[in-house]
Amino acid sequence: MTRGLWWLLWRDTIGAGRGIAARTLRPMPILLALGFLLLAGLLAYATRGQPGISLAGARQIGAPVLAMVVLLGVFSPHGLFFRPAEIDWLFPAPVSRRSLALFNILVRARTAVLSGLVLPMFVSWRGNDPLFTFLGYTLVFLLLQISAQWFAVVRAWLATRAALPIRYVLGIALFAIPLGAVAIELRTHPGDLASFMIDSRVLSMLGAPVRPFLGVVVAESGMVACANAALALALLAAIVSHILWLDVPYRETAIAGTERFSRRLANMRGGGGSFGVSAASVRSRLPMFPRLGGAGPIAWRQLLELIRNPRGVGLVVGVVAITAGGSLAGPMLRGAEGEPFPPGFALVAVFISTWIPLLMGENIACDFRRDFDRMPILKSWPISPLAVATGQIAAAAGFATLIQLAAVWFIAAVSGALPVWLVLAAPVLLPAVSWVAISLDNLLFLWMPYRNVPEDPGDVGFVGRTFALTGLKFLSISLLLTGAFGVGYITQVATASRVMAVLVLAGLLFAACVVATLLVARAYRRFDVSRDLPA
Amino acid sequence: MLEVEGLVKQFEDRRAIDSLGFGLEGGQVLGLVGPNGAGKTTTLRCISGILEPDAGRVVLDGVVAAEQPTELRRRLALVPDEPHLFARLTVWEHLELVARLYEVDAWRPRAEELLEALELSERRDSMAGSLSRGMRQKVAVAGGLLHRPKLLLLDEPLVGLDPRGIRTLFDAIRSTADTGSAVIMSSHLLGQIEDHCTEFLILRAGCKLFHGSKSEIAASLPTMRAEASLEEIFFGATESSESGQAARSDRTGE
Repeated sequence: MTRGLWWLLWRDTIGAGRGIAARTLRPMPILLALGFLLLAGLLAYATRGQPGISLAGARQIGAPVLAMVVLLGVFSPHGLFFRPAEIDWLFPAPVSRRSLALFNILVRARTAVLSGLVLPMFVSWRGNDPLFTFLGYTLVFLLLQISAQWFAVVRAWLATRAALPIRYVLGIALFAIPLGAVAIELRTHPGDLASFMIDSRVLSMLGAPVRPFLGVVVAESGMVACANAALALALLAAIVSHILWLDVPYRETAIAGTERFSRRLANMRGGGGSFGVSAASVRSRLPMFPRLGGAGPIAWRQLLELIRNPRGVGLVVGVVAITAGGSLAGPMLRGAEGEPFPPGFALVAVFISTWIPLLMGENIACDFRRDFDRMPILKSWPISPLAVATGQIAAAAGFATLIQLAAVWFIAAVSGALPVWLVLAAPVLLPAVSWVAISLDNLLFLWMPYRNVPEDPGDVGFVGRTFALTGLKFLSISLLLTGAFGVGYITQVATASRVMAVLVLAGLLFAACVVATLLVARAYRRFDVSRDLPA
Repeated sequence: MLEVEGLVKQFEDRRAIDSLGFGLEGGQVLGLVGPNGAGKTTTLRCISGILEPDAGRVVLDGVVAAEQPTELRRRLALVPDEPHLFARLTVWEHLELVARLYEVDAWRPRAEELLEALELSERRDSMAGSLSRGMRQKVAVAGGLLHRPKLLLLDEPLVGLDPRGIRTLFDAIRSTADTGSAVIMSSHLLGQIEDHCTEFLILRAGCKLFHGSKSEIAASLPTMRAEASLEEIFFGATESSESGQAARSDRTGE
């Protein structure tokens, strides 16, 4: 690698440090950091009785899961990502392909080190020694970054040698073979799911290449950590050597990928979600809602744009289906006669499918966050702030509720393991949960406008912000539900009437939605387009 | 100085450049013009070596691109249409980066001179992230000129520049050409570039329509006045090509 590239890496890292320091003292990052620490603290409290991840746990469960995550890198469009400035300044410079590839690997290593520092704060993922935990997670992130680049280089290499159908077959086989083997082994395994995870030979083989990485996280002595780290580094060195040895002409692929990513970023910065409106989707129509003081047309516009963003909607629905489906897949695959579906798995699936639409709001944002470049237009309309706020929140909350309800009822039907009260209460609880969560997102945005989009695929700050926002949302919803159920329970005890308890609970949730909407409306009224619009 | 022969670049579903050939001498300023999608940016990227052509040959100052790509890039500079800077580097650090990448000795006086000429001296220590588009464009141009390239490639360099910035840029282009370097500049702003280019290459759908000085191109178009503006020549050239194609299509029944 040339001296210029080393210098750039150094200066860029110093600049990144300066930028983080400058941003840290602003209100939004402080609030987000508090949310992050609160979440970490809650997890620490919840897991205080547990000593850490056991070696057996890391070997039998962690390793195959990590191996599958690594394999998902095959589909990553950002394996060969270069920042636009790198393309403009380094691609035309007298720098060899190998030097550029090495530079890219080192930039990713920097991201991995930062991620390794931040993410182990979630103590439920802790190891046995803070130093080994940091080192282990850094190696894991390095593996994820470098393996994605390796897959991209191998894909580019295959593209010059194999026809597209053959490449598709290879990609499908890479997943179908291990998953098929696991499914077959699962059906014939005599014990329960937990024992299957420990006994499975397929999972053991699948996790073998990545086991040293987790071995560092859970190492109980320096010797064990060093031995595992040496193995992990040897594997990484082999991958890097192969990338450099292949030396494929990746510039064109990298430019195309970066341009695609930049378009998506621009779309998200403009509030359009990560996908633009497709030409085919403009055929979708939605009848105009009643005016309702102006809230109707606002909600109509947002929903219309939402249904004309089928890829964004599809992504959210797909992620809900995959993650919730994953929780159901184990017990379903076993299909043992007469064996009841474990309620824990069904509840996990409900939890996931309730949260994901709220967490992926940035991706399909159809509220104030979508409109931050259009705030002056919004302000110029003859509609009261309360009506604007109601219309904005209604569209996003309505969409999230629709997905949540469909998922909960599907899980209930498939598993038969959900409590009846939960299935019946879902249409009351979920709209309120979604409304408050979306209101919170909008409130934070209007109070302290931010553009929560990544600068590049390895943007640790973005990941940190997302975690922190999630923490804040999770905490607020938990407090709301705990408080509401608590008062409902007290009412039942005091009045001995279930009907009264349900009415109080529903009233409290409704009141929370009203308060949240009023706060959003007030924040919108005080939003100053000449001062508050983020750059 | 620059020879481009039979350049072909095929993307998945379309041919972006089709058998393009032209030459350029030191001191010449070539205006690369054509409608959207004509292949201007792809041509510049292929010449600069950041895209590998499917066929054809690029030779700059005796260096063959396919044989010595790194050496070729040492002799040229590409200023892209949308200048992206490293947000965490200052203006001065961008020039230092170029000096290190291109191994330019005693670069500081030259950098000071360029900042002065491009009116960037006051923003020397500003972070790139805080610059306007026009300023970013000027930083990219300064970076392109620092190592005194034999060939300067400018992709839509006038977009985002104010009138003073445009005049400053043309001054910089003129002085670069005066030192014996060749310049290729793509632009849609025909009125702006016509007095600053010594010759023009008109592209359409990846093919060369016309190449030569303004008067040579005008002379090759049957109905064009000798003193016609570049805009008139451009429309005359592209429309005559369209009608020629239509006539050919009529004849072949396509």
